[in-house]
Amino acid sequence: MFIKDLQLTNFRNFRKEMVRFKPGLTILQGANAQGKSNLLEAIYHLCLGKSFRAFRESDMILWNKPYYFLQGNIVFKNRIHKVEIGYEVGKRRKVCKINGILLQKGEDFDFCPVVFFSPDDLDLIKRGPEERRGFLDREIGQLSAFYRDCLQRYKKALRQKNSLLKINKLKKKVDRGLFTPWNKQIIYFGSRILQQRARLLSIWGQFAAKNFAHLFGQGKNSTLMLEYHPGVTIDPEIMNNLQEIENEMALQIDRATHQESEKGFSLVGIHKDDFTFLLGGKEAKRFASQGQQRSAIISLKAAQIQFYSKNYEKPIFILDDIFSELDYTRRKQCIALFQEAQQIFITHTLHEVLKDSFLNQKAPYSLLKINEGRIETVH
Amino acid sequence: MIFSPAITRLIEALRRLPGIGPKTAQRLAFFVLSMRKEDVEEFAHALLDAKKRVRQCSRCFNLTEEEVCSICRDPRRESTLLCVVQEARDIYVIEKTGQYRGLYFVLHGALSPLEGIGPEELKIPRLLQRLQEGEIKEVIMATNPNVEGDATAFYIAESARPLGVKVMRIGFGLPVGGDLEYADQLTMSRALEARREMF
Repeated sequence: MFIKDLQLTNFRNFRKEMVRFKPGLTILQGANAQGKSNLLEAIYHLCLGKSFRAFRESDMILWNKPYYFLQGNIVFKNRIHKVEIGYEVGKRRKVCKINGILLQKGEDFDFCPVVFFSPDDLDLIKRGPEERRGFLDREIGQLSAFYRDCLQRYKKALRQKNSLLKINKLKKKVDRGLFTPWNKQIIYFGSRILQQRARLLSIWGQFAAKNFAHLFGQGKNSTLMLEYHPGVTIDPEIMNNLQEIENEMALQIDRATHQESEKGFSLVGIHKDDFTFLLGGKEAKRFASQGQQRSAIISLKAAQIQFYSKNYEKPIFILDDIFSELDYTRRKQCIALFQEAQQIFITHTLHEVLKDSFLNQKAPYSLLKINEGRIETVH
Repeated sequence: MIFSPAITRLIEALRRLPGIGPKTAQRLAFFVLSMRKEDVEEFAHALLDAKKRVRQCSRCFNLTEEEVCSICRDPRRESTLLCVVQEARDIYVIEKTGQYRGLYFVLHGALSPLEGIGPEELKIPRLLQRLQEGEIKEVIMATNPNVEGDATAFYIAESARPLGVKVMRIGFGLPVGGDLEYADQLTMSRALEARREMF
């Protein structure tokens, strides 16, 4: 998959810009605060119908303008797809069209393989389990509408159960039978979510381990593992058997009944899931250096690219300001890992720094200069 | 724009209706003001009269103007079969099919602890009482197929089990006349789970 062209109108700091892209590598060069990340945001938005950072649609509109509009052509599954996205302040309505057909509210963008990488991704190792669950939900949700559906219903059932637990603790004793209907759904949807998380973490983990070994060489301390810790303890042996996962979940939720009613909130379920990055068998969060942590994340991102490429279509890879922190050799090795992407966008303040690494790959690349909301194609 | 107090009051009253936004409320208010006085009186009277006459059926809690609704009174209906719905309007959807010959029971909502709705806030105790009477042999749970509707169905099924009543859930699956490729994945996977032998 790749983007052929993009038109931006009143989007962030772009008044009216039109830019053509080629498959392969594109470097976006410009000083800080000129609009490099804004262009990446527009690219991401065009592919997935949402931003990776804006909380409100109106955040993406150029100052004092009434609307923004993005339009572009994406080559996906050997077909050109015309995508149009607009938002008007007055109407408070977002309009998305694909090939001229208006998407209804709640209708999803068709699945598009896009991998995004920014310095914030290091939080995946450094911060808490919520961050990692968010990553799983975003990435698996991008792959499967079924997963999104299950997750939404799971969260609803969990909120209802927690509300009962709260009433039970603070106001009056609640009949046990009232918990069953919510627990049943927590188990039904939770087991399906758990199975998907386990499956994808295992696949990504295998790719990521190979990638990490590529960066650091084979050795006892250079093995990377992604270890899944579900909020319900499940024997890996039964991971393929939905019925057994459901039974096990029911058992553990039942066992926690007393403790849950004492605490006044739910303690067992996939909302307590986590996964860890293990380097040479040790937890990366506590024992790995900055550089190793960064390489672990790069290995995971590359794994996602390889996964898309193998199972769906070669993806678009978007890197926001990450290469500046890597040294020359590491950069070259990383680039080899990203080969499976069909189109790569990288931002950098000085393109000379990147040029060497990429020219050594003998791959042609495009260079765009971004200055105060204007985009200039250098070559 | 500033409206007179009476017009503002009318607009605000109309806005309380579901699906009516500020613009529609204004449009309706001005339309009412342009109507003949007799027509407005008839309109106001219809509102009050409906509210005064219509109440819940003492057997099934459907809306009716009698003590017992026409469905409950109909001797041709199968009195051992009961279909449980969330709202009275759901009855009309099922009745339109002309396929169902049993009785109904209206819960007037679904379980939702977040909104403070438990079994007592619904007609669930009355339903269980009715099942205890023994005439009903089979219950069809036709609550909405969302988290709250499913929970309500589960809860009633569990509570009815000791009474020896057969509890069924309406089937979920593919819309008739549709193509498989247009089904969303959750619907599809539930339809697969609820598969049945060919007849």
